[in-house]
Amino acid sequence: MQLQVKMTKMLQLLLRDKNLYFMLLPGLVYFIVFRYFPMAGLIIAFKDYDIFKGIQDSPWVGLDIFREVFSSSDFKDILFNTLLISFYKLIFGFPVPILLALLLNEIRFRFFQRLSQTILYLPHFISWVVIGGIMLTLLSPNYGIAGDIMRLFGVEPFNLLGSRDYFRSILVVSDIWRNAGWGTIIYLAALTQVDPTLYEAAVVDGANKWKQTWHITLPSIAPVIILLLILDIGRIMNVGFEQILILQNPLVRDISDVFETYVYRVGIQRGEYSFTAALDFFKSVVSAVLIISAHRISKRLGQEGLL
Amino acid sequence: MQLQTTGNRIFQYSNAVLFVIISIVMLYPFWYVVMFSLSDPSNVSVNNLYLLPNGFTLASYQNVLKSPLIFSGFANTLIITIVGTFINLGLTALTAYPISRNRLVGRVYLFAFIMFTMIFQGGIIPTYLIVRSLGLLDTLWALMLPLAINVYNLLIMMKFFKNIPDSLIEAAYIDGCSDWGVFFRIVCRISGPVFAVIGLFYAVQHWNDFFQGMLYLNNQQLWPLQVGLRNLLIGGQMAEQMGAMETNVSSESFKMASVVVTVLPILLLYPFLQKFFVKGIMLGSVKG
Amino acid sequence: MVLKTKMLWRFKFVVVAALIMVWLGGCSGEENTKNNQGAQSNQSGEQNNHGDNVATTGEPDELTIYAYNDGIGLNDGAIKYIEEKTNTKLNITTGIGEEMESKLNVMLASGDIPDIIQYQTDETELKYAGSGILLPLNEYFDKAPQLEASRSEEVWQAMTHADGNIYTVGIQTPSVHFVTMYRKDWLDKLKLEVPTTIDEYYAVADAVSNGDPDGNGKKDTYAFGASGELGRYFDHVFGAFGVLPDYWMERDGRIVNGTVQPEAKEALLFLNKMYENGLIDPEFITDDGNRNKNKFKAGVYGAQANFIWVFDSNNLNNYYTPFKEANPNGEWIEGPVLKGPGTESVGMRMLSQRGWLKTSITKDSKNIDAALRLLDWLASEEGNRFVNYGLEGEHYQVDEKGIIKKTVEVEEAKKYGIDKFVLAKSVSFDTATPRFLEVKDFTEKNALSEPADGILVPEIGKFGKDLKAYTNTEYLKMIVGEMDIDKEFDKFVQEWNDRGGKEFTDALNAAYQERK
Repeated sequence: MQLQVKMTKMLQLLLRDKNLYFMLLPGLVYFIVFRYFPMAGLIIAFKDYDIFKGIQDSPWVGLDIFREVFSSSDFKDILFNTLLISFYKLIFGFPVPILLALLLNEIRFRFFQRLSQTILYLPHFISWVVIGGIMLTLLSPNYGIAGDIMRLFGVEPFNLLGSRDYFRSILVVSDIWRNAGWGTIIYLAALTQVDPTLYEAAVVDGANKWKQTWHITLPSIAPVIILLLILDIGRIMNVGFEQILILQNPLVRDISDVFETYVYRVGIQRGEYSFTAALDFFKSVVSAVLIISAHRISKRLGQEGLL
Repeated sequence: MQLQTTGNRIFQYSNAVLFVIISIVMLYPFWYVVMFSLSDPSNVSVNNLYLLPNGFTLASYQNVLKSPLIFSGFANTLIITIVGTFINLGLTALTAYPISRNRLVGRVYLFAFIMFTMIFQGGIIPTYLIVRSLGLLDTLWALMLPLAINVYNLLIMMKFFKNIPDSLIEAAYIDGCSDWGVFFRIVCRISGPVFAVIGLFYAVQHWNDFFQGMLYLNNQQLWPLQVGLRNLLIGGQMAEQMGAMETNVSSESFKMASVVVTVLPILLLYPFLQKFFVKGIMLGSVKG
Repeated sequence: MVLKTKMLWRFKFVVVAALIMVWLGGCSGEENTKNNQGAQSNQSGEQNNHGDNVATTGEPDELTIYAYNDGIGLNDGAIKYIEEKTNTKLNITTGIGEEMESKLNVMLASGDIPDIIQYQTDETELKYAGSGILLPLNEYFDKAPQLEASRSEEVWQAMTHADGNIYTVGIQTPSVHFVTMYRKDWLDKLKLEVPTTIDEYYAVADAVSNGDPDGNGKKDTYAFGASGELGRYFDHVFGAFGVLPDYWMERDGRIVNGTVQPEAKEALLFLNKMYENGLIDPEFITDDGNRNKNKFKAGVYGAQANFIWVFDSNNLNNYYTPFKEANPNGEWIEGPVLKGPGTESVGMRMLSQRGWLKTSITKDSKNIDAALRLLDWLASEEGNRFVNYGLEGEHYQVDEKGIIKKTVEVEEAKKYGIDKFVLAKSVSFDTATPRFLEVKDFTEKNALSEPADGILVPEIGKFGKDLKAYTNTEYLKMIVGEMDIDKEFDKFVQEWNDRGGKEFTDALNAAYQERK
């Protein structure tokens, strides 16, 4: 009896929102056709995939590939590097766009604000290959600005990019250089959603700029900040392949080799699809765990989380 | 309205100075590329900061614009970017809106269903097989449909939609709007900023993409700009390996000029989008 | 109503899903491959299949080709000319760079197998040959005599697989790219001779680095630099000690890798001394190819191993002219293999005879004859000359010494399609100056050939890249003094062996003995 009531109620709700479900339809078709059908490809992580035999007829190898990967001598280093560099990028790189967006928001002169905004997002359009070339020029101990500055301070010029002490910092700084401005765009959009009447009320209450930012602006854009933070945490295994591949040199290879460069060298260059698929699968599992945990934690802290 | 206290004024000035400095630092890579592209390719220099061009010539630009496939490439890229972004925005918004509504039964499951595809992906070969079986190979659709929705962008859009006060939507229902009416008349109208941002993300993704084009298009006439240029640039490098003659194409100035030519149009998009970034847009519509 | 529509949709989903799933499973496998092939090939090809090879009349045979794209335009004049000459209709798909093989793999996985395919790596060749999709060319050489004649016995030997078959035509580069060279004008100024021993070399390297040979009063010159990779740029020093790193050599009938020989340790100690005393450009670790090339052209280096192209004054844009413009008095002179402390010194490394690009005909091609005909013509003297230089009178002229003079601009030649369609190209030096050929012969004569060249073992793919990367890192650490060579070298050798070096060496030796 009760079940029936529940069912009818459910049906009513479904019927009420039928139009909303219709809206979803094209999107769901897309996800099924272009995202779920290809997932048959995940199986090759557990098979010795031969492109000529196809996914079905390639022999099963179970967890062999995973075993090979986890027992490889470089695996520990790579995992450590990946986590460390990602962590640095997250700690130092994540707040910068928020800060920039808040400060940009305070600029009163509209033209200057728009101009700065536009200039800030320019580096994102210059590929890492080109940025890498620029950095070689700037950081050159013999001919670059870095060398001049070191001489100025009486330091014997040395190759920053070849230095094991500085290389990771350079990765983080150059990443901020290229992408921070681009990252501000979302926050600038989020700032438009803040209700201006709140500020008016705060001014009446005598709150200063700092207090307004802390009590009104930040809480208003918090859902977006947290969403992006969770997604960034989920991408910890993706450090930024192109950047590292381009800036890396043999002297710092062992401290900067990350998952993606490893997959590239071992899997893709060798054309071993199963190997690549297995590593991707591992990465995905890690990322799923991280995203779900981060989501749960943010919920527990009283925030919105992903949804 | 604002009280101009001394502290406030100091903050304003130092903020402005800060952004002048940041702007110079951020402008440098682009400046470098432009100056390099204007330099004479035959001038050799170990270290040049390219604050000004090293010898001035527009030859590299002439060479870029003379390259084969450059104009068809521009046309194709333009089509892909405009039509593709349109599809992206439509599908993403239509999917994001219902799931962002708390009242929708099963939204958590739908969300998980979508989220799963962000984390687990099938890989290149199976996707290629799907595209092929749908008959999309060698059509521009192959560059638009397989990437029609980016889950990352979808999540951002959902977040913005969720931020729309329920009261606003309920009021619209009471006024007799259907779900479609609410979506088009209320949600879309006050979501200018997020449409601008997500549209920009999608447009840039289409504009810069070469991998999809390389994979799905054999017909050179359909190649987007990036595929054609990449073929030129890498081809030049190989010639060097072979000890063959260097061509204009392989000169560094040519590469820089090609960067400028490809990047400039998409750069110009942003200043136009900025006008969507209007503060208090939501409030206005509540009152209106 | 609504529910009905929804059900209908759901039904459609299921049907589509099922169809695609069935197809996903079924698309693989040979059956499907053949079906596809049948659908693709032009039926007219069948008639020519059992005629004789020179079918210059009748309908052109349609060939699908996956080719390396060096800017091939599908409507290039050159392609039209080749089609005319070989009575074919070429349906070309192109790929380039790192993505070249990815795209080919994807095409093959989906069952679209072209008649002729091009790819780059030995690993891929091994994989394709193992899967049985490649045509053994050696069985068809009677139909393609010019193709067979276009490469020497030695080259075909290197192309031969363990099963005795030849599956690929290699597109070669000159076998040696590097030569030891000195700035003649600097040597004259510093009153030094071209060194012949490693000790003399050190003195010269010291003088060109610290003796201010360019006379600007600054310490801005070096003996040599590099571009982050270990090979080549250091070969003149390693060679003096009798080893080349990351290179296979024969020692007492056994193949060993130069990386882990005791002589390498001596060479590393020598290089470390050079580095400590400022004779090696400290930026060699981070410089990329471009920057190294720029420094070379700008006149930073004075006693180095580098590209031979700088000796070719006919190769206008490449090295020679820019170098001359930046250094009007600059002049390079080649130097002999340096004598080291040991008994035997060796010259530069050689590139694989197998070529940097490979062309194969696929076994299930419906147009094998036409494919052979195409390759045969392209490999012929006439065809190769056309691919390299275009048409005589129109694009080039031959002078009385037999040197080819190009009569059109490079860009214009490219527009016609010259030097792009490299399916069976052989390298030729018909435009080079006698001076260049002299240097090229000089360095080739002294070069050290690789006994393992042409031996394909799966270990190449399994260990090759990893070992190379590992060696590179450790060697550089030793050169710049981050690792104590005396203490750590033996440990390095051990680690190299443990990382698969030993397994790799053994596999190569086993295959080598078999080939003998």
